[in-house]
Amino acid sequence: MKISIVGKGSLSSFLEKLCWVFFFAGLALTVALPWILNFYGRIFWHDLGADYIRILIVLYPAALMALIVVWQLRKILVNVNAGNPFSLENARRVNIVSVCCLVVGGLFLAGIVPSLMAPMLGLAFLFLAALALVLSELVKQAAIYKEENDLTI
Amino acid sequence: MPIIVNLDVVMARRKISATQLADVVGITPANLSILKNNKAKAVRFSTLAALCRALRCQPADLLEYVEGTEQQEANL
Repeated sequence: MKISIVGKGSLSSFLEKLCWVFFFAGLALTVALPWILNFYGRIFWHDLGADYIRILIVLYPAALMALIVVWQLRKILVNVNAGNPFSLENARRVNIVSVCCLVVGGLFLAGIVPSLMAPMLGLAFLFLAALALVLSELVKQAAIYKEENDLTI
Repeated sequence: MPIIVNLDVVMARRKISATQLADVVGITPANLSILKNNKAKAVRFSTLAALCRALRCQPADLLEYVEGTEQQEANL
């Protein structure tokens, strides 16, 4: 069985639709974050106490960044499906993803969340930020080469 | 770009339309328009040869170097 990767009815088209699901699910989770955290805290720690606010301070901006990342990825997939993957617009969008990852990484590394996992998550997001930055430069270079090729008659 | 493509001048002299020329040369009318409007970044030798053949001219008739244009673009 051969799977179509890009174009109409392809894997990237499916992922684009999935981004909508993730975006609205993320939006609902962001709104319900105080209740979810309370519920989660009661199950695992019985009472989060003062940490409740500290965790919320980290999780709210992180959730907002995640929503921005999903939105940017959806827009990139729209461009990919339209047959225009290498554009300066896509490069800018990957750059925004990089900045979002950097913010999330910084938040987890700031030591606000009292968890051993937080610094590890922070480092993982910093790695992703660096990777996305390199990818954005790659897309930018590809867009420049493509324009040059398109304008060679 | 300091290189100016004088394609429209030669085309008018030979009384040939853009559609006809695109058809003879084997490029799309859209690409011919890019060339005519000086939007092209490069021209392949094969395209230049086909243009010269179709218009019965020399590359120098089609291309012209205008001094100072590069400086003007840099200042913009």
